[in-house]
Amino acid sequence: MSNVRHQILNVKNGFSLIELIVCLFIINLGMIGVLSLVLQNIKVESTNKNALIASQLAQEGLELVRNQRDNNWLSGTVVWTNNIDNFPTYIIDYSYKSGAVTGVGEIDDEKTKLYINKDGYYTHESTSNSPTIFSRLISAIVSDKGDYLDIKSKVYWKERGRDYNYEAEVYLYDWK
Amino acid sequence: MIGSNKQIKQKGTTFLEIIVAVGIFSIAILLATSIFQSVSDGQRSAMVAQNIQEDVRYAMEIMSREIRMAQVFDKTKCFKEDQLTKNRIYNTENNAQNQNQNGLYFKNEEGDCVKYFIENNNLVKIKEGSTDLIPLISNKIISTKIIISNLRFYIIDSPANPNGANIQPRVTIALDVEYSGKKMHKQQIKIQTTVSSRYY
Repeated sequence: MSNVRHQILNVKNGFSLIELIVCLFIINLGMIGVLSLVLQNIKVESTNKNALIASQLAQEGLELVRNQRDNNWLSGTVVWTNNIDNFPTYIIDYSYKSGAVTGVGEIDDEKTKLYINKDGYYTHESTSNSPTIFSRLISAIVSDKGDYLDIKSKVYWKERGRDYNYEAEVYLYDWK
Repeated sequence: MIGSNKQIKQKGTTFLEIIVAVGIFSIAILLATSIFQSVSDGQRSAMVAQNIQEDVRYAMEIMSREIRMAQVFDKTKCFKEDQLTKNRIYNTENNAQNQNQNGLYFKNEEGDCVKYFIENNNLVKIKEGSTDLIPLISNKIISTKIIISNLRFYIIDSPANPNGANIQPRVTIALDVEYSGKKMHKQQIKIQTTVSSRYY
């Protein structure tokens, strides 16, 4: 008789606390997995966005140096490398005028930083302009024979405490 | 004996127990749904960013390629209404509604007249053949879901230089883009590049 009572009691038993905790733990694990995937996605999107801007800015650097070389050709009086190989590393921006190239040492130099001016363009001019996260440095190396210039345009930026960079390179020749 | 035992076990839950159980259950469900909500929102804003990036990359690519290969104007008129500066590759035209914006027009590699400008917050390209055989084509370049808040061209071209024609023309393109949607999904990109003319 007591045996029957015992059996009936057993059948009606609910979950134990341990079972509940294990169950919740497994559910949470799944949730956290999905959530972290989405967070990762958002982070990557933001990095992608900055990489897109950086790629265009790096391209701009190369085009400006090429523009300088073409201007040297057109002037007819200066050598084709004029104002390009004066310094191993330097800055140049969209508003540059011939002969206004200044040497800058390293990428973390304050001068390499890009600002947005009142017309909405990225520039190296800092006064009364708002800073961006981007910095750009141009490096120019003359080849051993002196027949071409190895131009590199590096764009650096900091995001969530990590350093990123985008580098573009072109060889410029004295070929018309 | 058995009967009386069964009666005890069939006893229902008390009102208090139900309230506590429902309370705990609803808190758990609320947590789960809020997590789900934030996950789906995050996913959506990531998708928005992806779409903007694709469109911006495409717009910058086709614009810079066409601008790079532009030719010098040998005529004084390209589009019927526009007066062009002769012996110049690039010309800009201020936007009547917004002084911060302008459009760029030039003759492309094939000899057709091309103009890039903003209209109703979208990037528009119009093209007209050098002969009258090709009709005027007007195209929206990017998705209408994306707002182009600003587009400017900064040109350096020969007549702008007082010293004469000893200058290689260049164009700086600045494009500001945002997504038109819910505020939380607002994404902005400010992108710029410069193109040096390949016309020698």
